[in-house]
Amino acid sequence: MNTAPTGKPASPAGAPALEASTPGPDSPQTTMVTPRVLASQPAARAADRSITRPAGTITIRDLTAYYSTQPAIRDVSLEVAANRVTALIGPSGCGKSTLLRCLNGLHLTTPGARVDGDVLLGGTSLYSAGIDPVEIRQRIGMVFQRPNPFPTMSIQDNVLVGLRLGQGRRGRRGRHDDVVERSLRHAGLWEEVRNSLDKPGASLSGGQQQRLCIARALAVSPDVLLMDEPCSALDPISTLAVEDTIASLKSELTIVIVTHNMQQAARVADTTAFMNVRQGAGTLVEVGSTTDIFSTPKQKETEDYVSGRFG
Amino acid sequence: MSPNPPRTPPDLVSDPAAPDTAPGVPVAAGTSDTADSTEAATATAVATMPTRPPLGQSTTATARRKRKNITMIVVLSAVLALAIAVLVWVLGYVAAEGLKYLSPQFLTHTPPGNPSAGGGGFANGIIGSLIIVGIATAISIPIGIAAAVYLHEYGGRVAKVARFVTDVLVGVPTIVTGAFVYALIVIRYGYSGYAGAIALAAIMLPLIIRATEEMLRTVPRELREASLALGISKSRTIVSIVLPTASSGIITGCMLAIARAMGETAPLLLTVLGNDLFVETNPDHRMATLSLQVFSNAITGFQAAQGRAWAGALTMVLLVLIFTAIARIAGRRTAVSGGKR
Repeated sequence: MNTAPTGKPASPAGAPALEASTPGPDSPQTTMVTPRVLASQPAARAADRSITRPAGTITIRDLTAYYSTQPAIRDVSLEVAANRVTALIGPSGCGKSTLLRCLNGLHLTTPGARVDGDVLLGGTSLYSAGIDPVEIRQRIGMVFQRPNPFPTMSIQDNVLVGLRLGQGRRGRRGRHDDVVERSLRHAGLWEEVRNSLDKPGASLSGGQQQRLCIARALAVSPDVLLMDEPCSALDPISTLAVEDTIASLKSELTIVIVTHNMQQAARVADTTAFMNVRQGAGTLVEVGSTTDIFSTPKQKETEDYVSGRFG
Repeated sequence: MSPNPPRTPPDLVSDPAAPDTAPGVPVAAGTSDTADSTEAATATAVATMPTRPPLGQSTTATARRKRKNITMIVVLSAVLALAIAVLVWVLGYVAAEGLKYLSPQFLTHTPPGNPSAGGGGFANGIIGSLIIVGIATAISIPIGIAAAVYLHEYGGRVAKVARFVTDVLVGVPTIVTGAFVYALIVIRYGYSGYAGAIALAAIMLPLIIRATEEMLRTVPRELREASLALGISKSRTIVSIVLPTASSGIITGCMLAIARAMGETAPLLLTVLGNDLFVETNPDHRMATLSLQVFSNAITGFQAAQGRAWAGALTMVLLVLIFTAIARIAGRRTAVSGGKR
């Protein structure tokens, strides 16, 4: 864990400021993500990141994830580059979503679930003892398959919920109009909802709801955004809007997207990872640049899948 | 069957009565069963396809279904009407009898010393009921909701046992609860509003736990995960996301429990005892409640007292109605605002 500050990808504006502004004698420098750092400096973090964001590299090492005793994925090792879009493709049940849920610790919230191996965000192990999964998830946002805005909240409250409920007292204070606008603009929803921020989030159309969920995830300034088939419940036009959003976000954060739609992977991803089921558990078959995976895959299995011969 | 059905592709539908269109396939005659078997033997492509008459001409099956449909609609409407009729009858009778006596005086005066005399009211009972049920609510709602949150959100082996015990407690006759509180508290400290409130709280608690847990179950897992994925802690998620989402159902459950407590009489006989003489607001003493006064006045046999009992019954119904309305309005303001979910 000592490697945390150096292990984080170089980012001249963000990371040093974060470290330098760490106050208090009881906030250990050894741990990168201490509650103190996050709770006391959200404003500083947000300000830093609006210029250049310390983006997250994710390193997955020999990850095996179980639901009770049955492994859902086995021995997956993968390097996810910062500020890139990485697509996970593969047939149903190959563990794409499970892998994604391991990256922000959500997998472990399922009863009976456990993991072997390790996931590192910028050099810090997410599964080491001193790391609180809640803090991981403040750095690694997630968008789900079905749009799930909070039904009790307005559009504005939906965007701010992570800030208000996740980041302590400071987040609860103030209206954060700037955060609302910035997040909604990033998600490509601002123009459509700017005059109806007080309407319930669930009153939007499906595609708008999904972009609202993206805005909600962006409002807490994550390093990484995980997307679990974000367009599978959307029509083509909404899909296009979400894909545009992904393209515009790439410069600021790392995106990992699970998709069943190979055209979508080809459209949005820089890197594509193909997973398949072997001996009852999902394994990583091949990783490469999206062009390589779709035009000159090295494995026969990959070729069969991307050419539509199975799956 | 029509002798000349509209022409259909022979490999999709072959009407037994129609002239054969495909050479080599024999004309199947008779019921669909035999037609099926004949076809299965000759044309494998239509082996599993039952013979169907043209659309709009199948009379017997459709007629039977329609008849069944109408019969069931009539039966179910009748049952519904019966259920509602009983309810309306009870409420209407209480309202008709109660309104004869319900007046501002009834709400502001205590019963006359002589039960056969007219006049007077249940002011002490109304106040007593509000106080006792209020205390019981203040005890049971926080505990009940917290217990339900534990059962559903944290759970474990203890939760299974606790859930079973709760289910049993719902079915315990309330006089048993009253006797329990009598043995535990009244024998030592005497009759009091507090003892009654504790008994009512014990009756309300399992109802609230069950209703709340049921409502928590309706909150989709996706919402919890969405919240967790934002870096919101589990406890915050429960307090700020899950409970508000389930709030309208939880409020309804709590109102049912309050309504139930409002009408309870037996456990209060054993704990509060009643007080027909004056307005007692100190729950440390024996108090009057509406339900007890309805009971004691109804069994006297004096017409005036029975009139008061009816008015008291109506007052109880109205109080519950008012509470429910307030809770609904409050719940609507805080809970799900619109949405397509």
